[in-house]
Amino acid sequence: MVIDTSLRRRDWLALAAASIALPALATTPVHAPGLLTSWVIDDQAWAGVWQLGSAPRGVALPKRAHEVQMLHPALGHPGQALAVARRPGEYLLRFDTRTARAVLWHDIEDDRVFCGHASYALDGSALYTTETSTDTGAGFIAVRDPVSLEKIREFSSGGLDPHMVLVEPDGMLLVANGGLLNLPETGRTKLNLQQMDSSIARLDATTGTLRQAWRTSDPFLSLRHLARAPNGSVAIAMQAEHADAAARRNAPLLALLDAQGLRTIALPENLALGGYGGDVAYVPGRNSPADDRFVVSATRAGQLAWWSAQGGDPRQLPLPEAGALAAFGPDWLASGAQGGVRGEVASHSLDRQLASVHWDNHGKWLT
Amino acid sequence: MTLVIDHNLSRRDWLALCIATLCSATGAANLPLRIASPAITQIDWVRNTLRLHFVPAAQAFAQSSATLRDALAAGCNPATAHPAWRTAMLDWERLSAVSVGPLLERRSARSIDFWPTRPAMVSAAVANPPPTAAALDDLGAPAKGLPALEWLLWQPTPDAAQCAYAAALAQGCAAEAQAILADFQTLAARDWTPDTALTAFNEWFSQAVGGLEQLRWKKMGKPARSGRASDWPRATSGSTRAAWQASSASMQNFLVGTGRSQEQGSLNGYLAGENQLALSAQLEAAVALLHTRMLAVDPARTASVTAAMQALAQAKKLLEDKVAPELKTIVGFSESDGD
Repeated sequence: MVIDTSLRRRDWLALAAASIALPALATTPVHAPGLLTSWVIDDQAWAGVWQLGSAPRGVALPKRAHEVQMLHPALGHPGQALAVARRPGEYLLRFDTRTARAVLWHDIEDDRVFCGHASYALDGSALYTTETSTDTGAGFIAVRDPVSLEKIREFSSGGLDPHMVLVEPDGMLLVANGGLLNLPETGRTKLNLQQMDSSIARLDATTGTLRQAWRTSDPFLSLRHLARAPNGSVAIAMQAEHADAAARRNAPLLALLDAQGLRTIALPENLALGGYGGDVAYVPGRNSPADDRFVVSATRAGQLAWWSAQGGDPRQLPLPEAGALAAFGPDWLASGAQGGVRGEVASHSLDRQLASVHWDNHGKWLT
Repeated sequence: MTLVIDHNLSRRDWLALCIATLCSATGAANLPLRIASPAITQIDWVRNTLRLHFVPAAQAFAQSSATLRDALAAGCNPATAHPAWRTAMLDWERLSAVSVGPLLERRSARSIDFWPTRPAMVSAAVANPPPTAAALDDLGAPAKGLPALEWLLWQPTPDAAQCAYAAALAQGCAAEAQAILADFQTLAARDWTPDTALTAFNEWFSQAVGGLEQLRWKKMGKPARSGRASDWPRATSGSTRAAWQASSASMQNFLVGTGRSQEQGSLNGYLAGENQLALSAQLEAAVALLHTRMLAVDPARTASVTAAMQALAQAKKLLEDKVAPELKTIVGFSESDGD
């Protein structure tokens, strides 16, 4: 594998601009913008970090990871991150991003699989993971010790195929139940397409009680990824499962959940995005709240799809097999499975291609 | 054929002839050695695969699990119980390597092969044995099946209660095996339509990919990572290598067949019938590599396990990345899409 590790002039300019724009960084060694993410090179999966101008560096994984995030700061393990195996997943991994060494592998119990995502409680006292029963296919939220990763208890996710879990400011859990039935015998085969039942469930994090649930009027939309804006509205990236190819191709990718409830954002026909939203992020406006946006990676269409925070003004930016989205204030980075990275750092646009690196679906801004 | 050369060929003609000869030679070098097989429909392929692969495998498992049941009904003398268990286990490995049809609908792997077994649950069931077959059905999968039987039969001296529970488990396995065989025979006798055959084709192809991955990771990679010899599948009976090889051999049979069945019941036969000769050659090469590495595999030698896992991964990748798109099928275990 040959990766160009030399910083280009453009990279240095972006880096310098970023340092000026972020004074906090000026007192420390120059910190290039980067991603905490996972990727595949030559069939080997990795989780780790990539910084502008460097080669990605990480821990070799037995199978692909999905969500990767830093440990909650309250846990007192600076530099450590958590990787969650891609569904149907069998491991959690704590690793040190500075040394690229594994700290703790945790294999899931034999009758459960991970579904790819996890979130920390607001105070870091618990880790919530989305899981599925290998026996029945039922969805669960497991409450785990955030350091040992051992399961403390679990409760129903409120549906099948729980994918992403988000902790709300009041500590409640918002769970995207994708609604698809998978069983270990058949891998990722969707066994219930005619009866799929996707929902957003709001759960009490202590008791697991289902407080509220929302569904779209179209039963073939699988609600999978969540991003919250500071005003409380939540964007949901969806994946269409219609049998009809045209219906799937033209299906909406974005839904918004706010005080008015859950609504899907229809796409103009000329902006059809292949019915597949991979990741979603909120990106505040650089100059004005009027510029606040949600962005969805439209993996199959090879586009980054942007909307205003109210779901209007749809725009697109090409990125082949777009996946991970990471935002830090108004700056953002996006990566694609064909090796591309696009972004905007301190008002400078960034467009890179890392040969032979297949970026995975999710990432966090490296701080 | 006689080639008549016009001695009055112009320079341009000579050049054209030379280029044509070169192109022909290059093309011949790239052509696989085999020739296309007669085209077969998916209906033919499904019928043949049932007749030549799945039904015989189900018959073998039904037979050996019945033998195991009968052996344990007379007590768990290791001299008869151990070989009977081993034969049934290997037949199950062969049958379930590509897990399709009734094996999925009945979720047979859970009742026959829940692994790793949970000794605490097995011991609890021994202490309070299910009084009826229906009660055995209701018992949790972790306390049943071939792995639970292995744990019981390889106890230093199984006591009467353990033997009685083992006999009940063997009875359950044999009953399940008979039901699986009956369902496969029903499948083999049904009238397949293009639509039902297409559904089966897609499912079976996907399950072959899944089977390669299950063997690579669940049965080799994951236990290898723990570093404990006791974590290998079938370790208690010392049958790890034989179990891996049985599973792999069955997948090889599904993929390329053996002997006369090659053109009639294997995926390779279907590929060749579709005139996908280059892909057919690649599949044969991948399976040949798998065959060699699986013959050499030894759980005590890490490098041999790693090499076998690589061959499994290569075969899986070929099916996913090259064969599936050509055959326009969707792989349910696919690594290629996001989520």
